[in-house]
Amino acid sequence: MIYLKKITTKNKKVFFLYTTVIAILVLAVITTRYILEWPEIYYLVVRLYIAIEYSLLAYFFSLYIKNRYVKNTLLFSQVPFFLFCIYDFIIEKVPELPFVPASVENMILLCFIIYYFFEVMQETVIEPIYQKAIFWISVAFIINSSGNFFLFLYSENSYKDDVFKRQYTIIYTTVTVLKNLLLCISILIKESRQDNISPHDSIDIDLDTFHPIKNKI
Amino acid sequence: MFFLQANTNSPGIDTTMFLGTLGMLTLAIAIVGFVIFHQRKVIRYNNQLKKLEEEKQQILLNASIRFQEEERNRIAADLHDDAGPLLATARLYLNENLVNQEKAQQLQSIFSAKQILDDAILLIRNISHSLMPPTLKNFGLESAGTDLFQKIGASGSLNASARFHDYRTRLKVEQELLVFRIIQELVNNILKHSNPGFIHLTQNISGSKMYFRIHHDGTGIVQADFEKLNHSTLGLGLKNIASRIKVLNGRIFFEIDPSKTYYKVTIEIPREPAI
Repeated sequence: MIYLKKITTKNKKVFFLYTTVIAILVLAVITTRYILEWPEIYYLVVRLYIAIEYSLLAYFFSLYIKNRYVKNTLLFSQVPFFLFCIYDFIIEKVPELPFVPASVENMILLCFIIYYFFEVMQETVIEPIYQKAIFWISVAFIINSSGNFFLFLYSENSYKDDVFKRQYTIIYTTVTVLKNLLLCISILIKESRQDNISPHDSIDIDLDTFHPIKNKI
Repeated sequence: MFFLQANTNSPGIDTTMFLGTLGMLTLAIAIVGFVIFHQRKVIRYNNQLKKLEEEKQQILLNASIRFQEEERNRIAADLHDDAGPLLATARLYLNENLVNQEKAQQLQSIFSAKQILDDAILLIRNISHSLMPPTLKNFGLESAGTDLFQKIGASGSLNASARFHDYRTRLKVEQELLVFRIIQELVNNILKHSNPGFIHLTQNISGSKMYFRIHHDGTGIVQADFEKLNHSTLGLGLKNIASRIKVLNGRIFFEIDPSKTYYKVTIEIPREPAI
């Protein structure tokens, strides 16, 4: 409800869409796993979750990245990522959680968030970055991606082990709680509106032609 | 996909995973920390710049007040030294004895008093004109500018001209006066310090901005010199120009032409047409 009042820009609308879609997908994951107990559907929903999450996050961060090429790369990376997800789904021998696509998603997001920070450092500072919601969203996803990256890499082969599963749950839950906390901060941040300083206009009008007047002597 | 899969058979795999996760998290936090640290540093630097700018404004304000005082002193001196004695002399001619004098002497005294009063009127008019040029008030900046450059050119010692490319709509009276004063100050400085062979004024508009440019082939200054003089205690006239530019919400650029043959001073101001 607090967030609904703040939705004024495209970026916020995309982020709101992300939170709504993810909430629905999480509900679907819980239902298929714990209520209906359909493992095949559960794994499929998780795959869908990863693909949609990446798609929305890629679009969201592309709204903040200024470099046209990097922006387009991030936007169009959705296509190969989708293809990769489908490929991973096809080649799997038994239904399982999509740890490799999740690792790839984390890796790509990490790279682009770091690039976003690089762009931020090059900009003219008008207000501290931590007073902007995007900063806390970026921190949330950088921590989520870096915290889960190794976990997903090892999970591909170790997830069946009970000891590993316990450790996985601890790390994954901690990182997810931390991510959600940071996302909550981003929602509560009050951003100040600042207009962009217009760059210096070059003077290219006719000022250098002059016709001497007839001087009185 | 094998490159993205960790081998479970190797011993101490949990420690490696923990260390890897911990390392990644540390790296992420370090990056975020670095961004914040860098930003704070930049903000601190910007604040210092802001402080310097405020100090500069203070210098400009002081210069402006000083200039105003000097101007008042000059007017006071003109009135006291020139108009005062003239009027006192006229009073002498028109004293009580005038009625007792012979008619011819009376006429002579009245004629002399009239001449002195004429001189006093002319003097006061000149003082008044130096405060607010009548050409500027009645006919606008174009006429006043052209008139100023014609007078300079009339001396015969240098070539002076003014050309207004597009001045169909007059600026506000206050804006015109400020621009005229800036041009006057620049021209005075150029004549005093630059020893030019020519001096030209051009005007044009572009969008919502109006531009004035003075070209001269004497010794000039560039933007860096202007900024330096503006921050120092020297250059009262330049500080005055800077404060007037600030009042106009405009900008001023001191440049040397790429051919290195002449200097350019460009004034950029927002157009506020007179209603």
